[in-house]
Amino acid sequence: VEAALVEPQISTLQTKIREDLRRDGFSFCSRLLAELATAQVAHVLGILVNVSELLPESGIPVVQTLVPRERNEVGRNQYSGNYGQGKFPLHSDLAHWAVPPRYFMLRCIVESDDVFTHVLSWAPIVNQIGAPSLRRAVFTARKHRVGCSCLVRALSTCDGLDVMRWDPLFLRPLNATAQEVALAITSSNWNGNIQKILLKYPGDILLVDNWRSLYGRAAVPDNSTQRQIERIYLSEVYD
Amino acid sequence: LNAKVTQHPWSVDALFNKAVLYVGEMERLTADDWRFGLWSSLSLELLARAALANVSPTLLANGKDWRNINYALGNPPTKKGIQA
Repeated sequence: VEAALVEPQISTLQTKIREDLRRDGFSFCSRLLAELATAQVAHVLGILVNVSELLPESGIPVVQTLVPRERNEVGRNQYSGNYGQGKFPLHSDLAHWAVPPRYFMLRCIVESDDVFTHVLSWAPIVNQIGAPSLRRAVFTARKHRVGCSCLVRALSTCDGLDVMRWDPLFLRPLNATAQEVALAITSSNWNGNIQKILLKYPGDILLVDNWRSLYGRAAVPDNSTQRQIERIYLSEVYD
Repeated sequence: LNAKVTQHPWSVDALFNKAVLYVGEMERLTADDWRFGLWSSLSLELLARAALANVSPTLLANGKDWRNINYALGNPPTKKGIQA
């Protein structure tokens, strides 16, 4: 890493990413340290979440490779198992966790020209629905874990920060407010607020604030099935 | 800001989320319905438990039962089977 970037460049990069995240809820960098491995790049930017340590029985590695798959190729516990190569709806990653990872980074390994990643800031959603309703909207995880509480709210607080979450697939509304929130998010037209980002070249990264933004994926056309993205979760981004 | 997969049933968040759910049930009824009082009292109990858990979940445990205290500390239940 030190050979690829000198200290002032690392500092400038971290400042840019912090400002992007604060302003937009995501940050895009083109061809960032393309010669390095994804985990090495993530180490430069922040502190990694070790999913394999948190969920040892799941077999999920720290760096996950995402490729377009047909519905019948994977289990229903994955988005591809439900939507195949179709459009993925906007959602928070791991929204059913008690505390979802704060950030995640998507990094292009094999490019595609026409598969956009969609990012929507929670700001217009909070403006439309209102923070009090989001705080009262209680959801439960689709799959119940024995001996654990699976209740989460659309807007909660963790270490003094707002955590906003939504997932149309893995969260089930439990009260009337949650049903109203679900309806408002799914039936409203957010097209004017959605940012469409293309991971076009190997090394392109998209860092998303998972507590302040929703993300989704456009449908994958037949000519883009080779697309390959790596994902890694971060608990903190360096100042 | 560490991610967390699950939450203990006696954690502040778990109890408070449940209280919010029960308040919602209460609000679906009119104040003269007997169920309004039921949901109201259940919500109040959960809110009180959440307040105690905010100090420490061990305050919710039966102090004379080490298994109960052990569970409140976040460890798996130690009692095996159901006794008659």
